Amino acid sequence: MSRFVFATAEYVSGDWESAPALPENLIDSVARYTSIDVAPVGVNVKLSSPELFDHPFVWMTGHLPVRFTDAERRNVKRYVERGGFLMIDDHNHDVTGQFHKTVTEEIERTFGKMTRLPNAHELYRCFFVFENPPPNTHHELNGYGDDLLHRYLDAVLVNGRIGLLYSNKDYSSEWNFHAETKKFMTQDPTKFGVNLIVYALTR
Amino acid sequence: MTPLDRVRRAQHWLAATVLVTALLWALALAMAVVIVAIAANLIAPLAPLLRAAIAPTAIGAGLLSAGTVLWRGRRARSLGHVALWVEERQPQLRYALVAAVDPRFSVAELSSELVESASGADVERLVDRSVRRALGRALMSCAVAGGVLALLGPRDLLRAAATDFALRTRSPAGAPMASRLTPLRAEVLPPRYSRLTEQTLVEPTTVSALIGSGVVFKGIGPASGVTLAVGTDVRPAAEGTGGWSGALVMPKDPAVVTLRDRQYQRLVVLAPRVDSAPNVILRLPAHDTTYQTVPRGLLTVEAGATDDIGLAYGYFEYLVSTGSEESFQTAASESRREEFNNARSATLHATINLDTMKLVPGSVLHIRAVAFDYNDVTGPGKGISETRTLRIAEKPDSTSITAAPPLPIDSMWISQRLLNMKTDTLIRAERKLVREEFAHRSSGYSNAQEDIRRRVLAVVALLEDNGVGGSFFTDESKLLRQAADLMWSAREDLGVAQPDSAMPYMKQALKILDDARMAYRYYLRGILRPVVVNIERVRLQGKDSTATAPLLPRAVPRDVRAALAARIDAAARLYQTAPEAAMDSLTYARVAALTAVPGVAAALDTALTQLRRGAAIDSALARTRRLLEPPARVIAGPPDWQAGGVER
Repeated sequence: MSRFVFATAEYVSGDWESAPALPENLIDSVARYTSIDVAPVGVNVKLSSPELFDHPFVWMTGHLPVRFTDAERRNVKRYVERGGFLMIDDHNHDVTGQFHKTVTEEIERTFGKMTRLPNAHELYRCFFVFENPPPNTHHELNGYGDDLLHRYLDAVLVNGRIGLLYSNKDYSSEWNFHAETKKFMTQDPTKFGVNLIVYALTR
Repeated sequence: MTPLDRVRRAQHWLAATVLVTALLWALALAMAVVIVAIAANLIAPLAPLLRAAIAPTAIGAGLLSAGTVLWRGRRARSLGHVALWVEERQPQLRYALVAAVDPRFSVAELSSELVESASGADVERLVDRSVRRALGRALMSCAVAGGVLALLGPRDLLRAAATDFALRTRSPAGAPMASRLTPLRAEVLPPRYSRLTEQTLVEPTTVSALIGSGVVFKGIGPASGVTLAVGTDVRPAAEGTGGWSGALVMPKDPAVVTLRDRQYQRLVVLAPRVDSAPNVILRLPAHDTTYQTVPRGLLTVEAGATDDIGLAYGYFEYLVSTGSEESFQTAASESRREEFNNARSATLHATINLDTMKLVPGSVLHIRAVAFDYNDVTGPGKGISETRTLRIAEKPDSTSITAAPPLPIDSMWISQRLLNMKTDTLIRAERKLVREEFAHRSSGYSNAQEDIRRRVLAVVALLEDNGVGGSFFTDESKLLRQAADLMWSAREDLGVAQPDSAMPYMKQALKILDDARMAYRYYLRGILRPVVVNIERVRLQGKDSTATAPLLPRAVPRDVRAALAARIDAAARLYQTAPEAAMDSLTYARVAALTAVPGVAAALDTALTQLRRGAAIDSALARTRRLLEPPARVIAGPPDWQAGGVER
């Protein structure tokens, strides 16, 4: 089994690099809680490149409007349909924001309407168990962005498996901190990130 | 041969010619009627009543023309008339031939002069010319009408006409036990937006039409007891003009309509055709661009759009975003809407006044074209082009900005690089120099190295100062501390005149300074610098408890092709004992294949047609089975034959 390498999606439009500390943080969490053989450093992978298919889990985020190129759209469609897991998180945590509007339009153009992921889904219990999923972020609880608590995540399912997960919860802000800071926290907020990776690698 | 014999022979030829000519003209006239009907149908679809009248009209016209020809050729019935016909054309005979064939006189009673005169008549040439002319005209007319008919292709109209005729002539009361499902006609009314013409299908097995089309099935006899069922939706037929009728709307997914009349049943496949969304290609601007300065003036944009039915309108969408991270603004706008008036392909033009876009350094302008069709049933179909992204460079985003004054790390890097070069030269010159000179220079370089090290440590102190009396490591300060340590080792070696031992430390220090310089100086937009995590230090140090859910095997996805193959094989076995039921099974299998494996659906349609024409089940299904076969797999076989066996 080859080593898991955390991949950040790089796309032509928007600010794909808006959460620079997140890859390091999730790599740290995977090592901290699991025995998964994880590479100590993440990679950036272009959505239009064939290297996308080297990574079973790809993180995508941003604040700015997202418009896929035809090559990106084609590649993402193939990636998701062939067993990849693309996590897209709205760094604005704002349903009226441009990232949300444009990226959901792109997803629906590529895959059709997304499915609301039931909160009893195994994603929320495949490693850590979350009683009231999906886990909330401080940005939601403190009333930033759209001032909403998003109760569900949306997904593109391929043969019953999540191929694309879309979140308005702004995990990109929540997890964008230096991994060393975890020791000062009573609850590690990145545990859901571990579930995402475990699900992508085992389901 | 006597004149009587010659006239009798001429009579036979003329009578035969009249009969053949009458037949040919009847055929030509009937074909002419069909040609006129086809032409009229092309201009405007004929009403069912007019279609039903085509066959009787054609037959009537044929009979009329045949009768006319027979009436005009009625003189061929008697010898006297034939002789008179010859006399008309050869007046010099002066009725000698008429007298010679008069049955009241025998040849012996006629004068030799009269017989001689009658014998001089050129009957054969006259008959020959007349036959050629009459047959030639009739054949020519037939050939022309036949040729035109072959070009126009009358089969569909004639089938429809025959069905319409049957619907209007067959007495419902006269067939109480017969199925009211044959003959059957389906009228397809495409959605109004498509502007397609109405279509009539005769004895349909499949109705293929746009989603939302109206489909009206019509048959003979009263409506009572006739039903149409699609899935669980069963509806009774209604009374129509001249028989029953039942209307449906073409669904989004393929389905089977089951028509029932007492013990009779008939299946018709509804194959919906999807109205594709417009295909839009953005031609200008051709590529994504990054402007180093804010662009001004006009920008021409152009896109091409195509649609399978017709385009309604289109426009360009512009989206300008300015700022970064969580402090940014966006502004969306659209170009003027351009109407396409149902054209199948069109070009969209617009000019953007960049001065009005409020672009500033760091802005990003997204441009894309959008086109819509007229689909008001499942749409409107919306086609979107690829997006072009035009960026205006922001100073920190660009490497092309004017170089900033050298930072302390830059100057240290330059100094270290020079010192490395000098030390390298000294090592190479060792043999040429006396020992004292060599040691003196090396000692000087040692001092220079110490000087650089101190400057490095001064920067480290600056970086780690948090301004309130404490200190903390930064990524850059960690790197610089490593460099300072290496410089210390190099300084020691240079001090004892061992520059070759110092060189590896100096090279490594230079590399670290370079890394620190890059990390300190630039933040390039679009680059995420990877951070190395110390995996072994944190491995399984997490304190939070987990409760991993069991990993259950996922359900194996259903193999549609295998399931379809099994259904078809079962239907083929059933065909031996109950062919009608097997045909129904194959019809249902075809509906399932329409969405899952369209190629197999087409092959099944062909197979069903062949089976209805009496083909053998195995040969009809051969192509379908081939298409459903799994792809060939290469497996390791026995090794190549080699000699060495025992020959007996």
